[in-house]
Amino acid sequence: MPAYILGRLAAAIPTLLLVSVFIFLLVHLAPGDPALLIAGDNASPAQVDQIRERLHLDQSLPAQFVIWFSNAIQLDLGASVYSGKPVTVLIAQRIEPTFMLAAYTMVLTVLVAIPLGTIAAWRANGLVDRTIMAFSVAGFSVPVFVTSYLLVYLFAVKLRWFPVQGYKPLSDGIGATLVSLTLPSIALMLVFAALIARVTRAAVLEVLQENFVRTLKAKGMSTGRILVLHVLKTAGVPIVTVIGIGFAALIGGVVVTESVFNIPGIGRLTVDAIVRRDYPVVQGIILFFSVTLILINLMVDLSYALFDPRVRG
Amino acid sequence: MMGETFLSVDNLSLTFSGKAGIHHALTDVSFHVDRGEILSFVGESGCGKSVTAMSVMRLLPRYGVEYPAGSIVLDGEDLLAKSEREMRAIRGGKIGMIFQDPMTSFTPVHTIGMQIAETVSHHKGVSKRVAMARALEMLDLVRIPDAKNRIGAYPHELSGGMRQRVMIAMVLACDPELLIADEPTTALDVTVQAEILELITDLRRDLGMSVILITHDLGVVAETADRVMVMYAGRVVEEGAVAAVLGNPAHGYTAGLIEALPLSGAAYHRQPLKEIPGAVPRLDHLVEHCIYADRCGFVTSACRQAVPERQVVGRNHRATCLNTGNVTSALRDNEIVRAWQ
Ligand SMILES: Nc1ncnc2c1ncn2[C@@H]1O[C@H](COP(=O)(O)OP(=O)(O)OP(=O)(O)O)[C@@H](O)[C@H]1O
Ligand SMILES: [Mg+2]
Repeated sequence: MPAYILGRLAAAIPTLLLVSVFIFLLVHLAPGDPALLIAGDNASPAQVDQIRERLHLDQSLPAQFVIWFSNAIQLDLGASVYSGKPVTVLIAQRIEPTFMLAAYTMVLTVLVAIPLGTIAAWRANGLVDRTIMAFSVAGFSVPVFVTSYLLVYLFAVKLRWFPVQGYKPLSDGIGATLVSLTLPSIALMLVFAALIARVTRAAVLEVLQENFVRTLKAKGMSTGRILVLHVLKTAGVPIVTVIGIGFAALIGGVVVTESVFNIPGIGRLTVDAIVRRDYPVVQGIILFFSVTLILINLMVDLSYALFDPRVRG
Repeated sequence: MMGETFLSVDNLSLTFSGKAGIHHALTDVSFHVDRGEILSFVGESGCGKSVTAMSVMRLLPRYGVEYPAGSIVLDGEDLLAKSEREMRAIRGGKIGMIFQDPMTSFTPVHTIGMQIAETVSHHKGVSKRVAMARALEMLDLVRIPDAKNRIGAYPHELSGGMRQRVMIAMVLACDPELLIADEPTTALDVTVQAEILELITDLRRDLGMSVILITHDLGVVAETADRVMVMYAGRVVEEGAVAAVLGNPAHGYTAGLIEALPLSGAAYHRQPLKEIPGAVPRLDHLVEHCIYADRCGFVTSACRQAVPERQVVGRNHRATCLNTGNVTSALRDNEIVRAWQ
């Protein structure tokens, strides 16, 4: 077991290195002189030179990478061209709403998708299954901003159960935070849950065909116990894998949702930075999301051992 | 009470219906199992052995399965009238069942101890600790070496033979009065097969339970069972004490099975295996004649006129055949038959 964990941790390091090289090159190999772009249209050649020197753009590419990378691992990602604030500070300020939105969405998704997918598999091809799967296709095909506006219209404008937009920080109390995030989380959850429900259904359906389910029935076990304790746990690996993969999709959704609901999170920061061509910030955000995804993958890998004794070796 | 009827199935018919049409999986099946005896079902693949067992367990799917006629009475109670909830107390309680493939018959993600203990908790309503103690006791009973450590093992950490022992331990942990073993040794290699069969007969003797042993191997029947029921195309064609059926086979199909058995010793090399010619009929409609008539070496015109009645051939021996005398005398010189006379 510890060997498995160490192995997974070690495997994450090359991924991290590769990702950082890629992100570094993404900005530095983009067409155009970054210094010119950063300086803007009205800058004098002297100002451009100054920027070039400050950003070490006058040095060789490998040298630049070494400087950038050693700074990055000390959490120094440079400063925003627009506001001059350190990128890490900008990101840190925005983490809370984004983290809360993602976590809330995740919890809702698991609570909705896994029971529905399991019931659909148990009643495969019946009316319940068809209904659930029809909704899941719908959930997956309607864009987030459409469901967002529909939800806002119904639950905020008409019923007034939730605010139309905005975010209440945790310092106002977790209750207030959750209320402010309910509609955006549901909007995001619908897409995400559609995917997870389908995968859960497929995984559970496959496990239900296995001989051990017959053994459990022959032992007199109840359907609920068979489904939850035996079938779902056996089907856990593919389901958790897709939850991890779905997280990448969730990040894209977060950007849209934060804009629609006016949530001051990293998604909004991304949009602002791109519009302002604030390269250090864009680079920092990509790095942040990449590291997040690597960590999530690591957690998924580690959770395999939790579900399946055969993985532990 | 030894000798008293424990399970009695009478005139049971079963149909599967689906997109492909109707399938008469069982027709007019009658048999009984006495307390403490081993009854064996034999017959070639698809003849309805498992379906009969699954009917007793009421484990067939709810949709598409119908019982147009018959009854299944266990210890005086009509199982076909039971609710799913009532059946859950009987399955794994009064009746335990083990299956062919021990490799895939356990949940891969739970320890064998947990899987035995959950059964015990469910049926006996005891605490986890008591159930675990019972699990350990059972592993010892089925002669698992080093049971104390093995109780925490996952199924993939055990060999096939070991797993089938654990399966037997699990099923017997709740003191079933009837054990149904559906080809318990088919997936195991020969030496392990013999060990498992010996374990089953020993436990039957020590615990006094009844056993239904499903097999397609007459050799297993000869070594293990008290009585045998020969099935063909969803019907019982012959049934009786093992010595009576193997010593005086009275149905053309039983004769075919016996002739298809590999012989031992010198005769083994002299005679090629005889196969039964022809194929099992489709069961999409009920025929008005003997179901085996088209493949039978003893067929007469009477066989094609009506479904034969069950004939009493001897004490404890019945066959659904019009020409029982011809069959018996034709096999008189078969080595296996002679050995049982
Ligand atoms: N769930 C089902 N739906 C439809 N038909 C079925 C179902 N289960 C079994 N059958 C059919 O019923 C017949 C009897 O099957 P059964 O499994 O009882 O055979 P068997 O005697 O146990 O054979 P084997 O030696 O291969 O295990 C077969 O023709 C089979 O195709
Ligand atoms: Mg079978």
